[in-house]
Amino acid sequence: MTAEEIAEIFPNLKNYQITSPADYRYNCIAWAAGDTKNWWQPSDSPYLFWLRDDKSDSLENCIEVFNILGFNDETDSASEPEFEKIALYIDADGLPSHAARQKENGFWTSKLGEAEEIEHDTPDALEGETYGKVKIILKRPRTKVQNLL
Amino acid sequence: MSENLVIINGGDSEQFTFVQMLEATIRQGTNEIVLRNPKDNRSIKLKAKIEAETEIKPEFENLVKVWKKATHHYSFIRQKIVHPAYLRIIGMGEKVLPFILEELRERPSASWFPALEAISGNDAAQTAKSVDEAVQSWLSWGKRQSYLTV
Repeated sequence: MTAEEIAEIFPNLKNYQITSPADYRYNCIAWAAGDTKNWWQPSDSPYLFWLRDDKSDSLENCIEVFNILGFNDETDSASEPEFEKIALYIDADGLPSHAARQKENGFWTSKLGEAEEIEHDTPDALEGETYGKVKIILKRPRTKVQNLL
Repeated sequence: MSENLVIINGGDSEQFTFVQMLEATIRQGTNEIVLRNPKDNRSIKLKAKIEAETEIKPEFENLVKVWKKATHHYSFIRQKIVHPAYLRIIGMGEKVLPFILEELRERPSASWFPALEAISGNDAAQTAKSVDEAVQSWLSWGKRQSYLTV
């Protein structure tokens, strides 16, 4: 995506940098979970990855998936280096629309669909007509293994 | 091109060189001619292919450009497949299948699978375990159905 396209789609996004090229194999949910090999989405299609048998398209289902990964405590976006955080977004219809993960340096990282990964300073920088709004932020203790992501 | 090709037209067949066959096609003004090369058994529908290249392909490419710009950044396939340009591509029907498959081969995306299923009535990727596997499944299907050349 060009800088102009990003500015048009995410008008609140000011401080960011592209950190990896576009990749069709994985999406924002996958990247938030630390996976760059699979497209994470609740679906009956076997080529789409989901950790649960429940394939309902809902925020609750997404929350349950991240609960499985250890993100059990609801929190805010403040940087806590000892914790890894993920932010889940919903669109105007209340459906899950995006996920972002906070890095150890306090910045957030997002995979923009099939497009690039970006690093941005706050999760609400991606709020707007396209991704909706941040609905919930969850955290888990950061471990050495997770820091390898 | 000097290989002999067989024209199959309404059950009758004649053998021509490629150049002769073209001339014969134009003179006869037939609507449906299948060209088959006996050497490798590849076949194409000549008139349909000309129409596809001059009319369908430009429209498809324009729709893809509009659709991708509007949806490339979405992470849920449901968000991508409701775009009017995507629905218009599906509406183009079987004629657009070769172009979708070429697009899938050059720029893979899981977003193409719903269109391929909707148009073809098949689910070539029903046993695929990843997006890459599903891409290969559909490309293999496309080759078997002669929508894609080898």
